[in-house]
Amino acid sequence: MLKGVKKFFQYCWKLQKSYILLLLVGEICQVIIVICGIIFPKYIINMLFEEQQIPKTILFIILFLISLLLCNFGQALSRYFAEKSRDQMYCKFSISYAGHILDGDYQNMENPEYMDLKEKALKCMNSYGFAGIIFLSASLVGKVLLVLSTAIVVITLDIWILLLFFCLILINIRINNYIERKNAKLGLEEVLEKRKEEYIYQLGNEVQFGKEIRVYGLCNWALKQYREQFQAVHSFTKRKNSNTCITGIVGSFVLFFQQCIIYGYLVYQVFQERLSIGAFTMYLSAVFTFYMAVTEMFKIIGKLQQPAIYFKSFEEFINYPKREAPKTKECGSALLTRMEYSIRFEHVWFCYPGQEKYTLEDISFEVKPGEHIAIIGDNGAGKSTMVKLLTRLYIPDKGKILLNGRDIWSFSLEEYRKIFAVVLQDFQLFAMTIRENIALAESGAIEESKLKQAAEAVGLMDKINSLNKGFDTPLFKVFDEGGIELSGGEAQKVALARALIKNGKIMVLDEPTAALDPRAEYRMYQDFSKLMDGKTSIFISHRLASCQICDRILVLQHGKIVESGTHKQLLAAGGYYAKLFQIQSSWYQGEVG
Amino acid sequence: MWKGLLYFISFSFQHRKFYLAARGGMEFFKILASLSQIVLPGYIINELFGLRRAEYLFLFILLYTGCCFISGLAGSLLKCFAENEKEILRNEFECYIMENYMKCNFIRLENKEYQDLKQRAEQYIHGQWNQFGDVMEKFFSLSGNIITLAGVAYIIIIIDIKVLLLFILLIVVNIWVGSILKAKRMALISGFASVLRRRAYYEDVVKNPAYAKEIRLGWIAKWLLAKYNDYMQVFCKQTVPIYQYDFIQKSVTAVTGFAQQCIMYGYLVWKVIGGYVNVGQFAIYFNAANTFHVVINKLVDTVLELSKYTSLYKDFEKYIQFEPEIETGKEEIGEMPCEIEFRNVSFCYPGQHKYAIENVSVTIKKGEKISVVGENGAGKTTFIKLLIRLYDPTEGQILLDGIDIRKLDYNSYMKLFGVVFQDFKLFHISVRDNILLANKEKTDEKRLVEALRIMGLDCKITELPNGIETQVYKQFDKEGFEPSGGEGQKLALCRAYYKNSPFIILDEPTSALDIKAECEIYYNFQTLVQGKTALFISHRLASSRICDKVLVFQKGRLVEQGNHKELMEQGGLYKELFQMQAKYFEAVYPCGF
Repeated sequence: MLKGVKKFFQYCWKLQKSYILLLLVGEICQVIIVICGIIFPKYIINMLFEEQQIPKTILFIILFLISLLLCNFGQALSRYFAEKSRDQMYCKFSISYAGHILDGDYQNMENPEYMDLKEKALKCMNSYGFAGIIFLSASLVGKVLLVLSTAIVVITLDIWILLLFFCLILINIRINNYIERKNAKLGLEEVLEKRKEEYIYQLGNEVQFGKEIRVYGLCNWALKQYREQFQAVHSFTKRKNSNTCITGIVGSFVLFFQQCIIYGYLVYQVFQERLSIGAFTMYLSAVFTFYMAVTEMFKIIGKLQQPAIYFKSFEEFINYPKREAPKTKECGSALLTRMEYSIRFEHVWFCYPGQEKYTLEDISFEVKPGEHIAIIGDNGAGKSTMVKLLTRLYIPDKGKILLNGRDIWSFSLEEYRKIFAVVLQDFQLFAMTIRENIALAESGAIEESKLKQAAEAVGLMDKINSLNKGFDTPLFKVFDEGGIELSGGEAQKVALARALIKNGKIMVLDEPTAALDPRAEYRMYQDFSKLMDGKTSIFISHRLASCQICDRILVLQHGKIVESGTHKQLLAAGGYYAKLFQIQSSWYQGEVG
Repeated sequence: MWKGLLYFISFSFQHRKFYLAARGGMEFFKILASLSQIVLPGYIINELFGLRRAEYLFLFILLYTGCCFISGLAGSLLKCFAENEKEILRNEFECYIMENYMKCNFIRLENKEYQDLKQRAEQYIHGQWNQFGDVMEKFFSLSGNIITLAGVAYIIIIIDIKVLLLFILLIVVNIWVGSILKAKRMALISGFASVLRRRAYYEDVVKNPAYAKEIRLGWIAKWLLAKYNDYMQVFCKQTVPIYQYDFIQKSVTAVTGFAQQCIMYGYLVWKVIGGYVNVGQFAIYFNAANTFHVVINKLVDTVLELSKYTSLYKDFEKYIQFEPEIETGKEEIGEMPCEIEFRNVSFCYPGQHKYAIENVSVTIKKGEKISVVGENGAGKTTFIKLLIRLYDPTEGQILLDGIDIRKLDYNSYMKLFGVVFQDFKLFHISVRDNILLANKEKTDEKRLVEALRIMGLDCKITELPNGIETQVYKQFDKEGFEPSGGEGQKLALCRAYYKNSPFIILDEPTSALDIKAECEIYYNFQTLVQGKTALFISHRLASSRICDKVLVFQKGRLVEQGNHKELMEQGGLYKELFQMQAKYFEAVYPCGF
């Protein structure tokens, strides 16, 4: 455990030294307050009752009270600065945590093990609060100081009493720690059940599920699920609480014994005329403070076990392995000098992690610079997978992918990603202004004219002009009453504009007209050559109409390329493509059926 | 504040009486322990340094240690019990809020004020740091403190009532400062909600797999993190004044504490000199005064904390009673609902000026298959939402068999419709449950299998590791099934088919489907909608070939109605849109339409 805490401390020390130091100052003040409260009264009482020296008594009282005042003041001040510091640390940690997630491989986000791990790592932060762990550690230091100082006082009485108490406390603590460890394990086990509970809670509490819930009358069903899931979580909670109860009971017994012993001993000493009143009260409070301090100290150590276990998860999370990029002959990030962009897949095989069947089998094709190719195929044929491989979200199991003749893995990731402008099938818009959604990171620097040009090209200007704030209208109502909800087609246009603005050299459009109305779709095809001017592009679609505006078509079936050629060639070949074309065109011609 | 407490108490009383009893018991034993710790040591000291009667000494020591022991024991047991009960209570509360949310008028969900209120309502229940029932905890502490205070005050009055009054004066100073600061704090905290929401949004964007591809491909990780950091910094700045108030509070407490100690020591010393007070009494009064100070501070803190909940409770109340309510009538729906009529229906989103739907009048006859077409933003989805009563018309009426639907029982009306939305949601449950949803009682196995067969999913499902019991999505189960866009849509269609309701509505059901699957939908459309009234919203005008009637929307108005032939002859918007889509097939089959 100590190792875990030490690592954690080092991590925090790097993040925010000042927080740790300020907490320590506060703790030291606290220790001084307690020690004064033990020692001063002895002298005050003795001077008052036995020696009857009034002026000295008053002097001591004043000294005592002023030290208390100063320490209290010091504590409050350090607390103030500490809280400010803690907030900053929280910010830094959140950014670091987020950075780790975003830096990780894409496939982590599809891996439930990783998703669990990142939640556990976050628990490190939230269950005791990231700052809470540091806070506990600082408390620990304070308690240790207190233990030492009270021990010194008690030793002046009798060292054996000290040792006896220490042993009793140790027994108590062993039992406590054992139980704390059990609870920590339970805490980890319940993570999955808690996630399920949270999910169901989301179902009942988020806007996106609202329609389904009403139309399908899911209210009672959702409530039932929530109650059932709660029972699952509750069984863990009950066990944890029972364990904690046991520690409390054991503690009460130990305290009882201790009190009997110390009172017995001290009374005996008084009977032997060896202790004055002042000394009696001092030793009494010293012993009990010692007892409390040692108990608290071990309790904190025990409490630190829990986060220490989470910290293991946190470490695992931070050091989560990245896939090994395939070895390439070329290395370094030599910039692309040629302005043409050609792509080649060479005998690429790919299977998703954990799957048995290959999603892509022996894919080989070439896209010449400036060529527009269409990839069509049934759902599940592997079209989106090809895009993921091309954009380096996944690594092929066999084969190579080349850009301008170079293995794509030999480029630097940043440079490589900048080459592509992709519109995903499941693209996402952000709760920001339209301008920011289109220009993303460039929204500060982009020229208005470029923005207008892109919006014009996708047919979005009409909508923009109808809005009061134009491009500065926020999307979604999450933060802003004035935020707007776009229809499916309008959203797709924004995504398209985003791709255009990015000015990638290679455009990949995955079902870009699925949500567009006929007029917009028609327009897109008309302007396609203008939009894709000179850029190498890959167009994935079901709409065979789109194939005609592309130079070449690839037909994908069950992970293999079954046909390839121009529209005319494929029609003439009379294969799968020709059959599909006939079906789709028949809907616009004679009778369906 | 009291109203809020009362609400919580009555809710707890209704659902979980034992929680109140257990928690109350805990406080009782705490009070017992504190009071005995003040009084008994004094008696012990007096006896010890006075008469030294062994029996009395023994009795007092036993009493003292016994009280501590029993309080500790009982406290632990009751705490265990209370914590368990509290969790159950939490669940009850959350169900209550969820139910409210799921049953409220759909249009509220799109209202920012309502969302704000909801967040405040949750804060009311869960406190700021996710501790449920913080209000209750504070209430019990408060009661315990008050009673302890009463006991202690009684002891002090025995010395001299003037001392008590002086103490109270000092406390009043403390409270006065406290309330000023509290008011300032409140004002600040209410402004946090929107910043906290933004911060939570960015936390989600970063963690949520849905955005993962977009962020990587667009290379916007840094940009997003910068925005996230900005909002966090804003929050940090906003909280600084709160820490300042805390500091001022603590300093004032330290000073009044100092003054109080001075008074107490001074007074007691004077009394001792005068021979009025012996050492045992000195100890008792000393303890009493200290405890008084500590308890009063705790009390004031607790009251301040509780007062935070006052404004939260007001919002909680508002949330529970937010308008508009769903106007539901009592009239039952007949056995065979026949037709739905829109009579001059107009609809405008609250807060908007432009009508989304304007003066629409149309009759949907029983068994009709209707295609709803139009460009994006023309009002098609709004039309559907009005039809299924997610919205109520701003003007005009919607009639079912001549009765205004607002007069009909809401739940019965909802049962009439099986809907597949454009943004349908699948749940993280088994495939089977996703189709059955709430209708699990009487499962029609035949219909279930039929649904899968019609949609072409039966093969895929049998291939899955757990067949139809396989979980959808991998979030909770590694062996889960990630449906592709098309498979997901087919599953949603199964759901609608299974529901077997008289009306079936499909909103862009083929946008993610490939040609083969789209073809299947059209071929199976007859089976899918046999004997039902169907509405089919689609951009793909091919759909209008399989329907009896077409409704053409433009800019919120219903501009054309009729079947395909009639509308082509009319030569209006419909013809224009149709020809745009059919254009690409003309080359192959240049026969007229």
